[in-house]
Amino acid sequence: MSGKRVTFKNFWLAILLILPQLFLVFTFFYWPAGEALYWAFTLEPPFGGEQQWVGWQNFETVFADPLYWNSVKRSLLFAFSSTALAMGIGLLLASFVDRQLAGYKVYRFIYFWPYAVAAPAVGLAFRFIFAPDAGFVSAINVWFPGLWNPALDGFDAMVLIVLANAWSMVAYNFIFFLAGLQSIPRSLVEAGAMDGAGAVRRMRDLQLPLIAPTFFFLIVINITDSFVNSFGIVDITTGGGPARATDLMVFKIYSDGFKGKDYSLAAAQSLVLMLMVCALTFIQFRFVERRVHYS
Amino acid sequence: MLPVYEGFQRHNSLVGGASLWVMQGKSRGEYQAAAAFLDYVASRAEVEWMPTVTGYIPITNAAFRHMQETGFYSRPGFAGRETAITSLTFTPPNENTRGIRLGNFTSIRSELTSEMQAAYTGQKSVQQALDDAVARGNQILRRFEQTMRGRQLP
Repeated sequence: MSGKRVTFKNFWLAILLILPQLFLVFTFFYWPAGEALYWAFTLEPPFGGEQQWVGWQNFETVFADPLYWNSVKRSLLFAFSSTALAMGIGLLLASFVDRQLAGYKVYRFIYFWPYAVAAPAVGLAFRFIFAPDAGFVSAINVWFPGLWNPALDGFDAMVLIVLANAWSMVAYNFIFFLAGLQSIPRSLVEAGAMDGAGAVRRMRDLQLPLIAPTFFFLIVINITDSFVNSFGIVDITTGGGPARATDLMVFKIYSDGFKGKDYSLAAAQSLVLMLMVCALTFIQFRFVERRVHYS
Repeated sequence: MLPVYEGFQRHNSLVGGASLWVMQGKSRGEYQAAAAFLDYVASRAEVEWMPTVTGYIPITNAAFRHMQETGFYSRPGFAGRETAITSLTFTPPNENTRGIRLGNFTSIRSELTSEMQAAYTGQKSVQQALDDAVARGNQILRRFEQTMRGRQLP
């Protein structure tokens, strides 16, 4: 890239203006992350005192633990299924609104709302709605006794948190897909329609390839979000249970660190999680992005 | 109270819940404040207020007796709550029923909970689940031992 670089005459004023934000980022992100890096190589007494340097021992403990690999497996399952669900439904809703079906102006407005609801609130709502004994969904158990019980059945519990997470991410995906679809020139879609391509055909061969950059962006965001942002939902709905069926990596970090007071083990796990999310994002850029054409 | 199997003896149930700790190495003023706070928490008015609004047990015998005398447990909204006290004080606590104090107890308790869930949902036999809980608990204790090496615990 060549060309003029943007320069500011009032450099020091600019620095002064971004300083508060940098301070916040440093205090709540870089500093704790650096501290976690140090803790991961020490044994940290929970109520202060001298820590001991133990090298790679925390990581060896983490990797030797079959239950840790269980939580990695559950996290991957959770991330991929909630991403697929949230993006599928988001795209479907966006294409309905893009085709200007009845009432689309209202829907365009309200579909974004769920994203504004905080994860613990989502968890609480889903916990009530999907409660096997008294919730709205418990009607299923009237018709098919014992079919739905996230407190006893690990599969049901996983379905519950996937649904809750997908519900809040659908809104986000919807807005991006809608923006992508609306940026496609109408004439292209209309030309396709005149040549006899149906709605599904136009979506598959025309609109999806054209919004591929949006699609790729959303995959990265959704997977990252499912890995790092699922704590609120798990904590409120299932608490990692039953029998560790929903013990996602972030939740295990929380329960080992803040409940179990083993800060070192939690710090090691959080580093592994960070590297894993980086690796997943790298893989997506390396292999998926190649097939994306930016116009 | 919950029934016990025939041929088994009933013991007092285990006490659980939260506890308050005063840490060492603080100044005299801080200890005075901590003492005043503990005094306040253990005062009869506080001890009686908590079970009334939450359903938890009164934490001192004196408060429990006073609540019995004033007819708390025969009022319609609160009748039956004395069962918890009956269960907790059924026999004098012995070595296995006196409550547990372990390093990283919360971790160990959550391992036990997870293993019992595995047993109740039929993924493991009860014996297997308990054996696994013991093994997990011992690993946690070894880590605690290493973290607290060379330290005298009160």
